[in-house]
Amino acid sequence: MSASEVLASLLLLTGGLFYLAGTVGLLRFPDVYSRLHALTKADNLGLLLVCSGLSLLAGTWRAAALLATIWLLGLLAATVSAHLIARHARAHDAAGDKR
Amino acid sequence: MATDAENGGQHANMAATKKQRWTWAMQILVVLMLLWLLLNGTDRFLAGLLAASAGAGLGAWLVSGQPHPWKPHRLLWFAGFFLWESLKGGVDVAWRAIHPKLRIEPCFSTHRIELPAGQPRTLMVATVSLLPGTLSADLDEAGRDLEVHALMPEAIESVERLENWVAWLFSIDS
Amino acid sequence: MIDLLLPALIIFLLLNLAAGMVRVARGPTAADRMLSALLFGSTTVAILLILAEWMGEAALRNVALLFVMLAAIVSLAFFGMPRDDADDGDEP
Repeated sequence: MSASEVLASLLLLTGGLFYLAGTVGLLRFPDVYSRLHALTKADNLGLLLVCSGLSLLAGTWRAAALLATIWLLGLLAATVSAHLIARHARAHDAAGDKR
Repeated sequence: MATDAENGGQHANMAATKKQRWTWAMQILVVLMLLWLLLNGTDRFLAGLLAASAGAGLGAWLVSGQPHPWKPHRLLWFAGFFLWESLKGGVDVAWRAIHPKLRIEPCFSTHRIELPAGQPRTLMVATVSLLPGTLSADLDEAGRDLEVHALMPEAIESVERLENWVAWLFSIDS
Repeated sequence: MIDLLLPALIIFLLLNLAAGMVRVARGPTAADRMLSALLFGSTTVAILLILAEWMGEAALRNVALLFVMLAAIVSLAFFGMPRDDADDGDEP
């Protein structure tokens, strides 16, 4: 097993752990907003680590650039979704207060 | 006299906007072209150039308000800052989630955005959610007052720092 | 070793996703259910990318790219553009 494979395995495993932490936060945090924190941040770091590990394994610049683009788009998707979900929850909370 | 000065001001403003629009179009063109090369390789380069130009033209034409071009080297620094902060953010929230005592103290706070409307404000609202401990929860109708949700009250301070970074990226003096 | 690690990681991520789906069952609000869509999106992308490497199928990376683009659109479709929201809040 080469040095880059060892490094890639470490990156992949750490990435998996961040996914796990995101899910733990999703289940443990008390309200929608805190859960959003857990999901967006932990999962994106997880995806970043997985993408870095896979780029090392793939070994070409093009694959690495494609993986980086996928990560960036993932960030975009996460931040847009998080904002919309939080906004929806806020509107819902406000309506609930009036009732 | 007042109208004269106003006209002159407006004219200068429009010229600046036109130049900004061109820079903006060029920047979109470069980004789109890089994306084409990434997905498609160098064959059918001309088709890619045509598609990217069309996209850039459309983007510069449809951009609402005043476009704010960025400086490439500043974008690199911003990317570095962002990468480091999102690393910190992931570690921070993961630690809080697995900590047996669940070390969080969620709270809301309103932040008045001083950045101009358009790309700077959009970038700011989008990145707040990815920084350690903060989440952009709501934006008022005018798009000025940003409701920030924080896992810890201390995290709110980083919003101001982010705003300075975004202003620097788009060369906006405050 | 890598050939074992990759499928193991896929199974781990799938289990992780299944655990996250508990939130859908528990709710309690619609926003909580949408959270699972977010989790589903990020996990599926990772799984597709790992599969691409494991099976040597580079085309799967393009599938992941498409997936991640759809993920943003899904929540837009669910909640609508922010501006349309405004009339939601007006109701007494």
